[in-house]
Amino acid sequence: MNTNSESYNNEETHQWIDGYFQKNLTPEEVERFEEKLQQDPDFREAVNNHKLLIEGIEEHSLKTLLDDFHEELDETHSAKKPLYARFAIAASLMVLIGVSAFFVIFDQSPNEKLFADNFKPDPGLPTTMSTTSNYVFFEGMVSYKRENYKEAIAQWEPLFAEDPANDTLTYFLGVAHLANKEILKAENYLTITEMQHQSIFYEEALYYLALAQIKSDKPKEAEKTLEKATLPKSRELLRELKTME
Amino acid sequence: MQTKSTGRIIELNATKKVALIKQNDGATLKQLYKTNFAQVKMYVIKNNGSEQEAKDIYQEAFIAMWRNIKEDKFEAESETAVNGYLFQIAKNKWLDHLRSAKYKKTTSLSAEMESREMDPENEEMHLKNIQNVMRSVAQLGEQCQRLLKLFYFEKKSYRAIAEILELDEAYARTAKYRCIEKLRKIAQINPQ
Repeated sequence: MNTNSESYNNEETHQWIDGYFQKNLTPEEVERFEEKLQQDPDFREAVNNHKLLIEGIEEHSLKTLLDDFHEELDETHSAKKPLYARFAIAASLMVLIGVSAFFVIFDQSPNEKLFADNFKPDPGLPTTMSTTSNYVFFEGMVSYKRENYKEAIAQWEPLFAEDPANDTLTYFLGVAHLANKEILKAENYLTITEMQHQSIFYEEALYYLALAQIKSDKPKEAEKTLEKATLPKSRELLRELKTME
Repeated sequence: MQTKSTGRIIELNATKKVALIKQNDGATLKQLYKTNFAQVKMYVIKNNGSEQEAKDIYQEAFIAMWRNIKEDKFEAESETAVNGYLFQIAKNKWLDHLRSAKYKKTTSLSAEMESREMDPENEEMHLKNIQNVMRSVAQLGEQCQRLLKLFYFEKKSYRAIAEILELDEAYARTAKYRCIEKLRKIAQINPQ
């Protein structure tokens, strides 16, 4: 790969090449572009690479689409199941539902119920605030707000490795793990956040930490956490915990 | 007189269809895909193939047809011509596959190359490069894949994308560029 074409790897050139292929440029710009294409081999290479990326992206999108179409084809084929088979399936499904309903109603522990009733993930930070320095963080925030917790975590954890004292990171990593049902990891991150008494996330971290402790059946620890909290919802949670003793 | 005007209509329909294919119109692609599979499946199965092989060959053929139409290497005179073209590519690919079991694998590209003018070596290189990019796209996060698909495949404007994904337009623009940079990096590291 010719390293001189690297100089064309910037956003401005990228948008310009996009404009050319999408026929969004003025005739003068087109002329300028094609002249440069003829005269500058590095530019030519950059444009060819750009085109290749577009082709790959398009073909990848098409392939995914074709798989979806094929699934629809299969669905219409398998819809022609014989009647007795359909009844058998329906019957076994009903048994299954009945049995699981039984377990759901009778098996949810009071702690689990308390968690489920109270846990709502933090709504997150507005993503319009990003600058180039914290870009990756806000990328993760976009994933988080779409409830792609796994992806948000994957984007944030490397940032945490570089800056473990960052309370915004540890707080949101904690809540994201909690939403992703990884209670132990959530507890770890929220505990770190809670240690920074000056953090703006201190009170929220206490609340979510208590919830995590409740979910892992440590109501006494949750009570201790909540004793330090002053938010109304934390006081309320503490009251509920005490009535369960 | 009657046949002339209906002929003209058929011509118009084909031109419209080709235009829609070039724009990656979802509904057109879906209809094309669903109407033509049965014929290919029947052919492959009759000629010692399985249903899975029929699906694979069919999708390869579909992508080849799509590429040739985009690059104006196929002139569609009618809708039936497009259907016939698709079937022809699929049939050739299957025949090549049957033959390649006995001979060397280099014959497998001949089906696509029937309608292309690039020389065989460059062609193979180009295809490998595209496959490399495709593999790299699959390694991007879900967000990037969505963004790139909306912009390059569905050809939506930044404004439309911003609305769909509920983002700033400026953010969408930078985000897409970042995704391209990520893709570029992954594609370079992947072996050919």
